[in-house]
Amino acid sequence: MSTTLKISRRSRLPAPLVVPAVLAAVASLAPLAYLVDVAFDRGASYLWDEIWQRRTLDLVVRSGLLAAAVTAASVALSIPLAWSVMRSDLVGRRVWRVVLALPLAVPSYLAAFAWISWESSLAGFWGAFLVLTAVSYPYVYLPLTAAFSRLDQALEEIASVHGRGSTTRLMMLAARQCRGTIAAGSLLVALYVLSDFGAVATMRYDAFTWVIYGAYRAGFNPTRAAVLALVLVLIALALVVAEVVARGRAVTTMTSRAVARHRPIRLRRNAVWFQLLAVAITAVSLVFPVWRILVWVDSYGPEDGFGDVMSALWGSVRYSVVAAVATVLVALPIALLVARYRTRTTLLLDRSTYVTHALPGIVVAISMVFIGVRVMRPVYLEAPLLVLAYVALFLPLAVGGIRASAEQIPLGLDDVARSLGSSPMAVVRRINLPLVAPGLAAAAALVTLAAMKELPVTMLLRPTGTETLATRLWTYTTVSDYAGAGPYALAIIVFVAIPTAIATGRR
Amino acid sequence: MTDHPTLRVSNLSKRFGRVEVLRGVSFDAPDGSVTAVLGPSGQGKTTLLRLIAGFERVDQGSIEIDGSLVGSPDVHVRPDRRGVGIVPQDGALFPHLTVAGNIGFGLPRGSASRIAEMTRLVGLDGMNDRRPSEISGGQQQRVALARALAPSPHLVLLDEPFSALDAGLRAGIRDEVIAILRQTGTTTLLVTHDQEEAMSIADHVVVLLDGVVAQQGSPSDIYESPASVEVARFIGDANLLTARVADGMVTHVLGAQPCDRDDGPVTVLVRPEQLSIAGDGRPGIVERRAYYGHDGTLGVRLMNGELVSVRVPVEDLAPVGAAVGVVMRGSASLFAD
Repeated sequence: MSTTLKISRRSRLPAPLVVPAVLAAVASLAPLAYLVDVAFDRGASYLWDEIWQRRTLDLVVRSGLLAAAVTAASVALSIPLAWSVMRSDLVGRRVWRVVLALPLAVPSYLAAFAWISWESSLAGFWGAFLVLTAVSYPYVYLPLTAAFSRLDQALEEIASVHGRGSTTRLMMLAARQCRGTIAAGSLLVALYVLSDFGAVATMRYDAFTWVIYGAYRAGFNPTRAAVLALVLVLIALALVVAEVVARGRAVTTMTSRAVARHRPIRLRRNAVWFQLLAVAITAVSLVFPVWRILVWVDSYGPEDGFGDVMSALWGSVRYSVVAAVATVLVALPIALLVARYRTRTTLLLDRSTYVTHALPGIVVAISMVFIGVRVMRPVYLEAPLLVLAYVALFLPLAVGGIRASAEQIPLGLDDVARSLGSSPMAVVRRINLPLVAPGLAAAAALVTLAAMKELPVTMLLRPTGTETLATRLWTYTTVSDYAGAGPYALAIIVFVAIPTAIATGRR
Repeated sequence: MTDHPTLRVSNLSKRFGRVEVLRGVSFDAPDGSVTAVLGPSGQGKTTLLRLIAGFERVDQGSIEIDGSLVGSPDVHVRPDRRGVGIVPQDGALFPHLTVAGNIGFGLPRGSASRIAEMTRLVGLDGMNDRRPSEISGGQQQRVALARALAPSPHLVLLDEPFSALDAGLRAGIRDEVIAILRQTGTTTLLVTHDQEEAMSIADHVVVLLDGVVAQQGSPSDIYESPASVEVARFIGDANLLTARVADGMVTHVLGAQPCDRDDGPVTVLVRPEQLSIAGDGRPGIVERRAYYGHDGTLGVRLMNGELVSVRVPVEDLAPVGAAVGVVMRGSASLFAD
């Protein structure tokens, strides 16, 4: 029997994962390649002159301030929110878990319009800060709830036994164990802010994306747009490096037990504060925009018929779901490699997708227009190119979500499965995939939501004759026809909120 | 039956970066035996186990399972082709599978009868559809054992499998697990830092200190004739006394015995149970007293200033400060200074 043992000289990263992962990473960098190409169109000295300008520096400062402020606020809000709904006996925590994730479904331009149509003095930094925090904190909150739900209770119990059981301390103890998750979520928020177009445009805050769009639109100056976008990419890369350092310092103290048990921690009188926080966040990020939309709908004139709204909805759903499935499939090999085999190669794979995410949607859109015209003419302004652009845009979102759940699987499970006769790919199929399935569903939901509310790529690449909720909404809001925008805004809230509820409710 | 041992580890070395974790480790685990690798934490036990299972590659030396080479600097048989079962410390049950799903993981489809057989073997009938989160720690550990045994491996590796369990349950589950392993005739390698555990259940004990095999042999060999002061200290309580060899006799505070060493100072080992309290023994004063129920120990300061631990029946447990006499039976082990 022993003679049947086969001998292999090297057991490394499984090729069935590596090949698609590398292909996906390289393909996701194609828009960046175009960007560099265009930026150098007028020569290196022109590029240099564009960068060394006072207005470019001002742009950096304005965008950087906004990103830092929103990220800090998102972490500060997400820790108590996620902890109280996952680890404590907060009344109504099951409902809160879902409700607190819903702001993710509110497009930044919609929230911004809701606020500025109510109080025009909000325009500028504070308006952009308010709106972006309200819609982007779930990027920290959601992965944190997933991490908290699988956290072993042992440490909290030990802390209680040693009399260190105050609510804040227990919360910070749990948060410290999930530092990696918080760092990854923070990175997503910061990049979201730098890439956001709708909120800063509406709030007339001259951040990168708004200025780049202007350079592209007014007089069609692709070189200046590309140069500014490159500067933006550099800032994003600095963020990525910071995240690597933060992750390296944060010791992973996740449970090694495959089976986490937990009993909710009693908040007692402190419950009031957690309830108040949850209510306040929901009021600002959810209730207020919905109330404004209802006001608009109430004053609705017969701009569009029911059929127009339905066909726009169908346009949104169709492409978003296809994009979500495609993105998750492309992201899965990268996420598994990064989470289960941490080598220099896998880390590089991971970071390459963040570079794409650092490109604002508008720049991805312009790149894909170029790529479509030059090399993919048959699918230009057809569904495949739109889906491809969504995949390039949302790959990091999907990788981050899947990785967060794949990292929680104890490595010991893989070892045991191997010793029971499973090949590396069988381990992926029988152990890793079933255990990341909830993460996959959550990632797919995130991508669906993001694609449904995405604006610039959809605007520029949607198949001829197709309208989506986002494009119709944008058309009306740019001319301040809030009443006309009402039904589309309402449809976005209702139909984008449902997948969020499903994705978070399943956990 | 073959004439090969089920497991043969020869001159095995492993380093991580600059740290040499194992150095020239050699031992055999005969067919059907229970072998314990015993050593303090962080001295290479887990690395040894991971090398045998195939999760790490061999730097130097070789590993043979059932007479065929599975690991050497040139050969690395993948873990899924070694036929080695493992039972990790925390059980590492697959949380998404039921008890039956876990036990059947390494079996081909349609092995229901084998699963039922294994479930009965570990006494978990009727729990097939439970999830790992719905059963106790001891039950999880038994599922992990059944899962490892189900594909009839050449060898089962147990990595501190009982240390995560409550002290009250530990001995019971340990005896049960070893009984199952003996009943099925499975060759077993147990890694543990608990010397009492190793001594009580293993046929063969390999003492691993600082990445080196400090001694191997039957539990009684190791206990009665430790190869070094370090082994003596690690295995059980030890009284280490200064002594002197002169003219073929070694003399220490509790007596003298013949020996074949050259003249000079040596250290001798006397186990606490070799000592007892008697009126005509070497005089000393009781400094410490510990009551264990079935018996107890006294710490007695002898006239020459040396403190010895004496295992005594409960009726001999003198109070602290009492003057007692200590006598020794049997002979002491000698170590060169």
